[in-house]
Amino acid sequence: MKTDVWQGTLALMVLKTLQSLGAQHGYGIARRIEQTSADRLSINHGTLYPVLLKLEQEGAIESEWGVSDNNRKAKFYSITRAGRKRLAAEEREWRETTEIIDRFFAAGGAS
Amino acid sequence: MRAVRRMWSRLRGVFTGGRRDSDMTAELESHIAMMTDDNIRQGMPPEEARRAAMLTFGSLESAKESVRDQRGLPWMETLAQDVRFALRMLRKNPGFAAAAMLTLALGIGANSAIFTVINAVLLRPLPYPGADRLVMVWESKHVDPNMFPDPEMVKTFKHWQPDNRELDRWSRDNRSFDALAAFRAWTFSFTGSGEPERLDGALVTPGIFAVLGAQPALGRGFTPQENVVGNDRVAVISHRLWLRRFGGTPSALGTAVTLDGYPHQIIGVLPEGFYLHLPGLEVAPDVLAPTAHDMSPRRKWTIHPVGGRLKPGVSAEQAKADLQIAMKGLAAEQPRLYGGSTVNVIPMVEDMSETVRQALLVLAGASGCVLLIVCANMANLLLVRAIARRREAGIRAVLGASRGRLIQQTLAEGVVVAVMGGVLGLVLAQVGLRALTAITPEALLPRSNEIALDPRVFAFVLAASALTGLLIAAIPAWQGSRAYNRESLHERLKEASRSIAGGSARVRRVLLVAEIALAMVLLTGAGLLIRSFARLIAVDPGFRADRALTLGMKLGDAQAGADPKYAGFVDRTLDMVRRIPGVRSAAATNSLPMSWGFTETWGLEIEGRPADGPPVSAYLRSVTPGYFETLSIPLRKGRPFTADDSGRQVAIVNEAMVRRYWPSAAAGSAEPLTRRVKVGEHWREIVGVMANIKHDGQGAEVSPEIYVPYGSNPSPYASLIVRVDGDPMSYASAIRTAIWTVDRNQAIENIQPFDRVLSKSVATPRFRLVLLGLFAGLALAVAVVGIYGVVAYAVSERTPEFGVRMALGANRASILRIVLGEALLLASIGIVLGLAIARATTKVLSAFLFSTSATDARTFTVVAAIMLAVALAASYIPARRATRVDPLAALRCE
Repeated sequence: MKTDVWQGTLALMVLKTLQSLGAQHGYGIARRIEQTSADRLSINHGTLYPVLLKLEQEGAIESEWGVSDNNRKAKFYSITRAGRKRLAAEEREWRETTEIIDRFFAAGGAS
Repeated sequence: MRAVRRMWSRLRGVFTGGRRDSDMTAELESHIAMMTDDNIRQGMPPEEARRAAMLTFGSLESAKESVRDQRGLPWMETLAQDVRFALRMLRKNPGFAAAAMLTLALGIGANSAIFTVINAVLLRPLPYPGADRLVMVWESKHVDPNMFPDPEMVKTFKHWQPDNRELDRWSRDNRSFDALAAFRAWTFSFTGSGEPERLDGALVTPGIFAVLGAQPALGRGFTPQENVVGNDRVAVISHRLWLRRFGGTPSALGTAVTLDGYPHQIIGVLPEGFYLHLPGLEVAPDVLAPTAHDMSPRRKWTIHPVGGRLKPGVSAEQAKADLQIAMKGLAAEQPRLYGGSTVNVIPMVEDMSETVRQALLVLAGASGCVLLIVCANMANLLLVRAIARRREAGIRAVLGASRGRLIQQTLAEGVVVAVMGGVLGLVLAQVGLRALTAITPEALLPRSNEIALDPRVFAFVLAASALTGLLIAAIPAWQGSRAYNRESLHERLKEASRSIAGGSARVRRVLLVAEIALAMVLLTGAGLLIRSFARLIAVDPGFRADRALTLGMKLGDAQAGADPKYAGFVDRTLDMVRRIPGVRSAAATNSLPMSWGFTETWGLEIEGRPADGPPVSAYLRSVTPGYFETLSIPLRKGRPFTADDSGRQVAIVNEAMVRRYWPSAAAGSAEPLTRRVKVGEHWREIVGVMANIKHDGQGAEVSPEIYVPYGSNPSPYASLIVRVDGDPMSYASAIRTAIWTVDRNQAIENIQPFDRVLSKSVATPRFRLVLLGLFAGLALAVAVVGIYGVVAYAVSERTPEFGVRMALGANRASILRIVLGEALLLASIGIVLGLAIARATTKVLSAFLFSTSATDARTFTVVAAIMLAVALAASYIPARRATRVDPLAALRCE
């Protein structure tokens, strides 16, 4: 059973993907997210684009037309400095949150 | 920060939508192509590969739509779309567009004109730095209300002009003012080279520059020493006069000009365009001189209006309390003069606009009424259009347009029409205002030269237009979206074509009734003013003003030296004037009827009347022999003045004076002839009783008056009245020449026919009448169009019904009766409603009405009759059309 991506986390995944892969087109980003989750996440590729646009509008990523590996014209997204900062902050937050939740569950399991 | 950035980017998206759209399509296409490539590589057949890719991607259109929604501002895009649509609809219906825009332009234009005036007169600060700190300071005399039952009189005492002693004391002892200054309008006679000239200017105390926050551009202002009689022969002149008379050279400073007969040294030049905006003193002054100019060496005090600049942070109340202390000190020293007096401190703008505030607010109400009528009319027009387009609306509703979208579209149409009308209205208003200020009596509208467009006016017009647009479209929008009350699509479509028509007929009738009622209110107001004005000008002033010419002179020191003082010159001048062929008679006075408000003379004594009784007062007027004959004022008793009376202590009193002070004097008796009245230092014998004349205006009460020979009470102000044969103005140059043969330096002002002076005296009520009449006429015209429109539409709606009726045997007269009957019913409801509202609101006009009640029954009746007749006429044309219905054609179109 594949899990649907939570609202809001997709933006974080996009940023992380762009940070680790460098410039990448929408299809590449979608594939990478699927691969990273070992195909446990399924994303409707169409939903990726509103997220990309939002990130671009917020200045976290920027885009440029380029040519893909197999010679197709594609729009390439890359992370900006503001995007990196934001990613770092959100990563930290995410870790803290999960840590708290982990401890909570650990404590609950002990009782 | 992130949100701002995003907003900006979306805003940009609104305008670059088209280009971005193709960009996005290409991007999504390439996404699917790449996925298809991968699928093929994994071994799928090409068809299958593309289908799988499409499946993974999800709905392409939905992705596009959500990107689009996020890229721009959807509501703004739909708004832009609605505005474009509205413009297109207007272009397609130029007749409707023109009618709508013109009506709205009239309504909004009337309001923006009145607002422009209100803005200039009531709202905008005076054009001086720190103008909010400018105040007027008046002395408030202690008055016994029993002695002065007239509230107008009491008001005068609360606004008493302070004298120079008070000003000096206040200036010395206050801690609230940066500066205080007295000022008064003054007309200087300027002689030396060429014809003697009259120059507008002012007498001021040295503080005036500090009060206004201005400085002479060249030279200096006045010093306190220069405001002392004897040292006061100095002047500051205008930039204009400096250029005209001195070629703009700095060496003009220190040279002398002859003002009012004396050489004055020029000490300064005012900045270019310098203008005085002060209560009672709105002028671009050519000359400023110290107030001591007005004082004689003998009489070292005078009264003037006083203005001041408050220190920052000091309120008018604090300043008042502060000056009150100084006033107490003065009262202790001179209880006879200042006992019980207090001080009134009033912000300057308020002081200036006090007299016009109510009139302006009434006019604002009237123009608001006009706009409401226009709105009702426009709502009706739009409603009819909404009905015409009901199928379109229904189809859109069925196809899934949301209720909000449909309403928004209708509202957008309303606002577009209204804003276009508003822009046109602003143009109309400015043209109208220029015409208006040209005919406005100066005294009526303070600050009239400041009337101009400013951002506040633009904001007002824009807001008024937008509001109007929403107002006129609200009902059509609500009616048009009624289809949504139905659940099923089928029902919606049916509802769209049916009930809009039915329900809106009711709404249209209600709107029409409201329109007629409002128009009635305005018409009633205008009717009352017309009636009042007719009564006012029908009042017999008691003297004849036709075929006579008047002019004014201010006599200088040369004439003061004549024997007897001033009168010698006046007598010689009158002799010369009487010699002109065609001149019937000529006389002079120091106070021309209907033109100059002299103050009452107090402290008179009447022979045989106890000195400690109620004080005796009367208006004292100096006249030459021949005055009563020239003005055709009948004498009731005794004799007129003769040439022998010139220096004698005699007097003629008016009937009002007799009634007040000799109430028992019978018409046939000789009382009060030979009785004596003490005026100033002299006892004067009463030699005649004259009929009352309306000296201060046709609407004014007649006050007690004492007329004395000019020679026995000489005055530097002389107005000549010359009765002639034929056109008075054709004698102007002959009379001027006659005066100049006596003294070639004598300046002459205001040569005009005497009846023009009379008509000027009613300029203010006439002006109010013209304005309110204009609004009422506008309201009536719009209401006529409204009645016509509603009846015409009702007729076209009922054409099949009329067809059936005629087919069943109804004749034309009965059809006519049906249509007219319905129109008259609506009009009657509107009229009755309007009369009720008028009865409750015309009270605001009371202050402007002359011997006319604010609920004058005759006016109400006449106005109602006019409205009924107009309603009948407006509905007759469409009613006639109803009778020409061809039954066959009517039935077929069903």
